Amino acid sequence: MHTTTHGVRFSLPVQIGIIDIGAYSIRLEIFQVDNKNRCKILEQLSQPLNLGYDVFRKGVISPPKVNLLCSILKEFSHKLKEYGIKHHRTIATSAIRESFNRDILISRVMFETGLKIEVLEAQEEARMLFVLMREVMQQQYDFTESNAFIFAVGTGSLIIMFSENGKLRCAETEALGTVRFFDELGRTDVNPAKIIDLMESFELTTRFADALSQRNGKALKIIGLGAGLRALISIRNNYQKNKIVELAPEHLLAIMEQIQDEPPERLAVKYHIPDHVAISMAPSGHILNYFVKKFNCHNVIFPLISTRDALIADMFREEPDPFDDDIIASTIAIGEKFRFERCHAESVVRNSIKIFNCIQKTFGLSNRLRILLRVAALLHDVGRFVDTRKHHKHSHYLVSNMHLPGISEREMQVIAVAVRYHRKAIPSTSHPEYTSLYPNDKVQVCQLAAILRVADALDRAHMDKFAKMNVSRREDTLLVRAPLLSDLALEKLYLKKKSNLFREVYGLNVKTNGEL
Amino acid sequence: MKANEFEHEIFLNRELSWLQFNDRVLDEAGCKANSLLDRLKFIAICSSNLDEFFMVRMAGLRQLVKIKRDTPDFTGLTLRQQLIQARAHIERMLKRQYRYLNQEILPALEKHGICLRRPNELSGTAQQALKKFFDTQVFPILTPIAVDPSHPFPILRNGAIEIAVSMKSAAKPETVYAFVEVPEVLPRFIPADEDSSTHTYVLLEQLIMDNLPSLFTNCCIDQFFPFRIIRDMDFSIDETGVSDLLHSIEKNLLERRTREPIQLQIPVGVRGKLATWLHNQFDLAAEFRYRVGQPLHLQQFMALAEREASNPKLTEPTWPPLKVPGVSNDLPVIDSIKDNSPFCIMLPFHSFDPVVRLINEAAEDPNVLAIKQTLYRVSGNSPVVRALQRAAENGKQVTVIVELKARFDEGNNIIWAQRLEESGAHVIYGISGLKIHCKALLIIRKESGIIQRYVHLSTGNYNDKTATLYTDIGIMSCDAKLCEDISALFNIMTGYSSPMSNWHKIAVAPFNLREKSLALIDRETRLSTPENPGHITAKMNSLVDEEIIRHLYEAAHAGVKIDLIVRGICCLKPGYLTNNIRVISIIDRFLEHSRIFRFKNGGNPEYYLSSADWMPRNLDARIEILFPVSNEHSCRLLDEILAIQLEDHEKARALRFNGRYVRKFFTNHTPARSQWRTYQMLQKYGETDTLGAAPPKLTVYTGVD
Repeated sequence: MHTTTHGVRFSLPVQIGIIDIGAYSIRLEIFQVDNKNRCKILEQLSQPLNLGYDVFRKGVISPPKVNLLCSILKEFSHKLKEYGIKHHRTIATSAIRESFNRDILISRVMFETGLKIEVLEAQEEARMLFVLMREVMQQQYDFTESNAFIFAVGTGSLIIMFSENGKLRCAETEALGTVRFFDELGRTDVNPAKIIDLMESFELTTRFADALSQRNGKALKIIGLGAGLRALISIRNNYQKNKIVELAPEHLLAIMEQIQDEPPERLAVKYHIPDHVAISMAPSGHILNYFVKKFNCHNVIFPLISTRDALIADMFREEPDPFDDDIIASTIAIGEKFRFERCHAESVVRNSIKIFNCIQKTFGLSNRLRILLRVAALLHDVGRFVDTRKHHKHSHYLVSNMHLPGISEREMQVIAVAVRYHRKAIPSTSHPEYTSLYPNDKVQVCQLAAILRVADALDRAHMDKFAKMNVSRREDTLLVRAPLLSDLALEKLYLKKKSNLFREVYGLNVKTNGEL
Repeated sequence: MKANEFEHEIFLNRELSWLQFNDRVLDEAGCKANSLLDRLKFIAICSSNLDEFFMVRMAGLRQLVKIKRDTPDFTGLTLRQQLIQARAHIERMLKRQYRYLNQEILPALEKHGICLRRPNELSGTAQQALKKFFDTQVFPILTPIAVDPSHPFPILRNGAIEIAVSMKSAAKPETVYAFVEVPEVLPRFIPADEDSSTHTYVLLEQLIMDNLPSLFTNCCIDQFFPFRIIRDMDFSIDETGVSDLLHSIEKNLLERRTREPIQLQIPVGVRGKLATWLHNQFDLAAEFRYRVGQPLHLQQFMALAEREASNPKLTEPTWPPLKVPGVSNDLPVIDSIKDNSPFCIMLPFHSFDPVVRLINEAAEDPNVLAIKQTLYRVSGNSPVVRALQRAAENGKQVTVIVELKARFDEGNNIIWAQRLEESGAHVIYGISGLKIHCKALLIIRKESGIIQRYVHLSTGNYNDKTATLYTDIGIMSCDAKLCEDISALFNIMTGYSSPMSNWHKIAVAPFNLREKSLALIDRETRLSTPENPGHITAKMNSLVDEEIIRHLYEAAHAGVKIDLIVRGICCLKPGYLTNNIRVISIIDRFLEHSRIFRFKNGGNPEYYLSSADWMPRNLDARIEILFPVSNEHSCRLLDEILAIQLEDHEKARALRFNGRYVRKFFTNHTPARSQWRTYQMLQKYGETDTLGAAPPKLTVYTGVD
């Protein structure tokens, strides 16, 4: 039996189906993993469907396209039955993610085809791509020693990631898809100059100045991902054999020159590539080249992986999730942006985790909740950046508008509301931010906030007095004991004030040294 | 080499080449080495072919003349010239056909007690029995149709024998005309045995004509004779904007009854008012009116041949189908594939049974998840269709791609396709604009949790009846890459996916089959040196494609030796400035139907089988496949078969530079007869029953390498 980070249990051999609803085509891949963990693709189907045109221009997917999507998915669902596939995922990226009628569409697809579409949020896509990219890169480079910019150039969006010492520091998604250019600029108006103008208007280099300042003298790597780039590279390299291709910028330019006078329809035939990929080749090259010039890089690395590869790898990745550390690294990066007091934040993290670990089994708390707790503990005070007064409310506002790779939007709301309750009032029906949550999420907020309040109280003096504390449980009491080195009067006072929610949620009184 | 300079020297006209093919079929009817009933069968086949030629090709030519596209073809003949030459050819052919039938075959059959008689030549008791048969069985289903101002000219059925009658009624002075259709639901040959030693038959139309007065009472019958009308059946649907192919074909079938006539057949010697009236009724140019011998509609003599087939003196003994080496009777066929993949099934020498068994076993096999199959022409009560129905009922995912457009089989196809759908199979009615002609079967099976795929690919249809009459070659394989290709092919045919950009093993029309065939020919040209000349051996039904012919000629000029075994139309004229091209055609008891291609490839020969001929329609307008055969024993078998065919001096005819075929006629079968030698070779080979063993060396390969 094989249990993955998603908690899905497979027994090998297993057949898995992935349906990927992209902006310009719908694809199905059925693959098999045998007892020796060898992966073999059984079917690869692709149907062109331009959802991007509708969404990027009008914001919604038109009824005829919804009908077409349903009929394609019906066929794919039939295909899954042919192989008796029990494990399958239907993933949608930028087009459905951005469409206004996505919920209606998802419900209709569910009704007509029995397939449940999961909308892959941009941050989630970034997470999966990053983890696989790092695994692949690690085979050839010492990635933990490098700083890198990673550009995932998609047809509907551009994901920009910055990693420091092998950890993801930030990820942003821009509406800069390659085929989207054609929809936004018009088919005949896509040229390198226009693309550069458009890129400049996003002021990406200014926005990433903070990341760039972190280079610490280390050479910056530029890493390119995306079907258009892979197709470009394939012209020069037989990439079936290599997992990574490294090119000097002039070689990239040479390839682009080679295709510049060829219309995409001819490229598709000449190089045996799908039409929507052929359209992406030149714009992908121009986007990447823009950054290569901006950052003055000496070479570009192309790990030849796709979002689907990332998704498949993700389905099979076993615990512990290697991305947990990246979540923390990018949380710290955001904290730094708001000039958080890192020592206090990390002290609260340590305290929280010790309490969490002590009660996890008794209350059936999930490992995922531990990560949310770490993020909440790191960010609980970011509101001080706005004002110390009511800073819990400022923290809530800031966190609820943050995007963190590996954390879904829904999880982000849970963290934001938990942060809001790290001091002052406890959850109440008069608080709209709390009442608007799903019932399960309310429970999580209470579970997190209860721990966070106690952990924060224990570092009231911001002196990390409980750094080496011992947490134990005795009947209805949670005992947190610090080494008897300093005065704990302040902490005791605040613990009394802030452990009320803990008692309500877990039914435990929190006591510290000398209180028993 | 400038192709244009020798255009007319290297091409033969397609229609005239087809007529020559039918001449070769007719030769078999005249060949004294053949048994009498086999000769009769060839008479029937020749007729059936000719009817189809009118329905499709002549109709097409006339259509082109009508729209004034009378430009010369690549042989330099205009359409009108083609029509004129074809007519002259057909008239000669018909004369020969009736000479063989009436002067040789029927008298010879009579000596064996099989006689055709007119009713009035029979004894009194036989006549009475016949009269009773007419009154009880025939009369009730006859529908005489009068033609007069109140009854417009009726729609006469394509190909049926009609009896035209002129008469005068007591009430009116003017001549009345009428038709009686000879019903096809009744046998054409009505037994009228006078004693047990003979098999006497009366033709149905004779019986009806003898009893006309009972159909037209109160009338004085003036004149009557049988005739046939053949209609333009060229079946092309404008599929643009056709949302429901099934419905559109059903509609088209109904419309066929009213299609324009293309040939009128009236018996030789019929004169008078009735014949003139009939000519006037059909707006048919003189060149499409034919005077033919009697009896009409010789295609139906096939029924007589089959009826008498039990007489061992009159028919060549059947060659019992051989067991397919490597396929165990005790194990499921899938296990044999696993053990021996890939292996060849050579129909009709080998039994078709493993294919039917494979589908039957898959239908019941709990591990089978899905079965996919293309069906083009299947027999009336096909065991293949029944097995697929059962599989669907057993919860397998059954996908059947039915080609509704299989010519003259459309009506039949619709019936069983709907039956399959009712049992839960996923039936797909072809691809708009492309006829699905490849023959493929894919079985998806889960074995200890792992998906395994099995394929059967063939040059012939999944038809248990033709499997005993046509020479076809099929392979069964579990080769992963081949299965992957076939899986992708089905995805294209079911519309699940856009065409794949690169196939691992097969070539698929209309995507890359032409390209692949040309590349294989051109490679021979490239690799050919005086010391080590290239060699192409290709066996197919028809060679028509202009581009392929040009490339073959280029190869021949570069020194490549080319052996072509082309059963039917061959537009390549051999012998222009090179003797490197040899063309033979084999017509024998089994219809040569397999397509085999062998390329010397500098000494590392490659073998391919295909569903496609080298014709533009196969390469550009159909889904067809070319698949490789690479294991040693199968390649050696193919080598043997090709060698045996090239050495045939009895049933093979050689095409000469003047466009004519030459052969020797024998009064008895000779050891050079390729189909019999192939059977013997496979029989000997089968005795070893191990696939590893080489086929017995019966021949010396006659190629240059």
